[in-house]
Amino acid sequence: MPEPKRLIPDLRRLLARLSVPLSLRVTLSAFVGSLLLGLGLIACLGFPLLAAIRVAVEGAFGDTRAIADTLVFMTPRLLVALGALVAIRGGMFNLGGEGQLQMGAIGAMLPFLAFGDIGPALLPMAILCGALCGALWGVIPAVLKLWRGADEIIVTLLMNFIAIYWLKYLVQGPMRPKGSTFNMSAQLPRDGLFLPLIEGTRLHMGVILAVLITLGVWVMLQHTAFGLKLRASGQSPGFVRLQGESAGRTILTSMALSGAIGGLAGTFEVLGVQYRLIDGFSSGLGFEGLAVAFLAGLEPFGALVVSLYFGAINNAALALQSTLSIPAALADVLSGLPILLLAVISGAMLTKGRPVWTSTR
Amino acid sequence: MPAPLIELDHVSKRYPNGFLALDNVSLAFHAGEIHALLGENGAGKSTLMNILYGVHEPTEGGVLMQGREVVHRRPADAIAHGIGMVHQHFKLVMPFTVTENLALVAKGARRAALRRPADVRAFMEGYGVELDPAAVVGHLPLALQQRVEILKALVNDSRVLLLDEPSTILTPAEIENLYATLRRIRDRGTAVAVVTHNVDEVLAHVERYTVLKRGRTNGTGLIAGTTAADLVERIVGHAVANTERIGQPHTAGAERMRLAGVSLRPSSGSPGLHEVDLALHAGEVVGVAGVEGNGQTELFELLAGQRRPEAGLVQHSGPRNTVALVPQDRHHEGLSLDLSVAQNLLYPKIMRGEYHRAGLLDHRAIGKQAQAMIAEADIRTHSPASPARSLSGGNQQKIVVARAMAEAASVVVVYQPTRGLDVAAALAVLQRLATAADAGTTVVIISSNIEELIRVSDRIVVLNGGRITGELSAANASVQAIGRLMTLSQPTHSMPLEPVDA
Repeated sequence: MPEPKRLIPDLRRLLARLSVPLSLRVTLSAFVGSLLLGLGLIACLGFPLLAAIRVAVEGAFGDTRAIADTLVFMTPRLLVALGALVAIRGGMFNLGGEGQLQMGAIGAMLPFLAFGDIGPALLPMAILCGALCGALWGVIPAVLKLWRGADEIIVTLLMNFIAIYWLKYLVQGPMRPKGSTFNMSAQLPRDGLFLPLIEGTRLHMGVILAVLITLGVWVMLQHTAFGLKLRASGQSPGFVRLQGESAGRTILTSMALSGAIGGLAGTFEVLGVQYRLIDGFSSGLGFEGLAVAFLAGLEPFGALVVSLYFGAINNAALALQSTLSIPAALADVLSGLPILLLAVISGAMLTKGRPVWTSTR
Repeated sequence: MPAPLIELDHVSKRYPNGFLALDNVSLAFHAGEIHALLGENGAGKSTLMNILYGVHEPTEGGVLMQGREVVHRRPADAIAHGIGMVHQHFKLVMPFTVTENLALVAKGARRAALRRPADVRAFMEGYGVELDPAAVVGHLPLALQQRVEILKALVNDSRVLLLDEPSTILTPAEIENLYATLRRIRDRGTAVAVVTHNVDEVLAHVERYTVLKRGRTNGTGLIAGTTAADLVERIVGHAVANTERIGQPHTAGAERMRLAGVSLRPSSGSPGLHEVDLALHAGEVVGVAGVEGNGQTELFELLAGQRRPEAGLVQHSGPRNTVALVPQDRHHEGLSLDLSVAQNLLYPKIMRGEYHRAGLLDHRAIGKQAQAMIAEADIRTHSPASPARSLSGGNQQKIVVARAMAEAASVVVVYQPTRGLDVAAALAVLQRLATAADAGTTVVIISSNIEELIRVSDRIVVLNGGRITGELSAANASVQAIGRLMTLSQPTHSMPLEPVDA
């Protein structure tokens, strides 16, 4: 068994390795490679390949409704990725996207449970509360790190499970309506909260907000003094220390921000898709979002593109299942493959100093 | 004298970035001898080791073993020729036992011969090492982990043993033990080469030395008949014969800062500081000389306010003293390499809220101001927006110096300000520091380049073993006088301890 003492530095090195943005060509080849492998898988399972491609493309982008669904699938992945990249650019490996998302979902329910149906004021309160709960889940590891030197990789990772079980407990106990046997809360009042933007689709306002947050994160990173300090802290902590600045404040702020954005992913899922708190609503969105962040080279607009791809894959997989009975688990394979390929490429570059196919020998 | 076991024959090494790390070096290592490689950081010692071990290939020249040319394209080739290396950072499998670590690298029959614990014990005792073969390496103290590394390097009957700075992580007692082991190895007919900074260690323990300076050999010979002063002078001195003064001599003004009886405990790799007294005045250039690793880093951290003394006081006399810093390690502390040149130049001002418009960074104003600073400091960059990483070392250093100057601080502390710079760039940096002192700034230059210090300083204090062993005014300073102080272990009181007014 590897010793924990060595495990953490190794894990940190691996994550640092994944944080180095790779060239567009390398990233694209990871995606193309994963698509080819996926198609190969479909062919091996004996399904008609051309029909599958047609169904997949139409399922993801075929009409307004399909595009809307793709965007709805994109949104939580995008938000978790944005949250993760804010922290990681600042040198904190926040792997707690899943937990922050779960806490954001819980937070979204609280104003309604506390005050009942009080009309339009409920919506901003729910969003704020969701963001705050996510932020809390981001700040705790930061405080533990500053106070006791607890490694944030481990703390954020394990706090995911606390949040997951916390949510499970709530929907099986305090939040379950009397007489119900389902592990879910009562439904939120549909009016006054999110309304579909386009008639007959599931497109909700959270999608627009997520795109605006993408823009906001980019502005923060590139056009503010805080963003500059964040990037400098992540890349060269020694430099920031010598400039006499407190690392603590940067760590706290970035983790709060990161947690808040990750929390919104859960908040929007509750307010825009589920309208209630349900056990298992996420199915690992938080971890997928983390993969998105690394695949996007920790760039906000890159995360937008990659999460759109992930959204399309998940949406297409549903269409493949309903039309051609291809197992929807294919989506998991296709979203897992790019990060796996990228890790392989990173490893190859680490050992040889360059991707094997550009080798000059 | 018997023929050498392994030789470098007119070896030069130029790295892809153009840096000439070794310049026509010829050097021989003999069986049954411990051979020390001395030199400052960047003198080419590690490159030399890496060429012998097949990590790098020489650009010109070659490696001879017992008179025949050998080509080491990778470490495996070198190992096959009987060369073992102990790296500065250990390459051990920490959760494995001593036996397992040895078995991992042992080849063929050797591995079979190390099957029983008694065999392993016998192998180790052959070199005077007593270790439990079943001990988990990760649980051993550093000095013993190093012993395992040495055994690993010897396990395939190596005839040449290379050690890269083995003593930096050890306490003085552990260094004694290390050399006791190395002598056992030498006595079995192995050629041992040791890279080190430590002159005392070389005088006490080795037979032969070679000093490298800026990629060339600057003296080689037997230790018998050599003195510490001689070695120090070879390591730091006599590269340029230019003694022309840089800037005007200054008359020291009011006291700005004072270290009073400051001490830090020694620790592994650090001599600590011992009752250091140092007063810094307005408008003077104070040079701090010494062989690297004699307390310079500790002094820098104290002056920078990054560390508190364990005894004594660091006093600021002025009410508004500000300290600007040029750290030694420009890649990790001086610069944030992925930020742009402009952002690096103006980082402190941006953090204080300058160069903002409507709450956001005013990239246009930042670029414009950076352009002015780039022109003034003669920084060669494609554009202010290029990442600092893309610049050459000398130009990166100019960024760090320009930023410190732009701070208009009352005290500027610079650490090895001209390392890696060409003559013209170094002169420009030193002139800038002299001009700052003209304007009343207190300038402290910590450097191992004595000639430079003599040319620019108003007075020079010398550090050795964490003590100030003496102080010289610019008029009395000479390479020889400073070199003598650099090897003293106690301060001499014949030297003036206060600045001599001109």
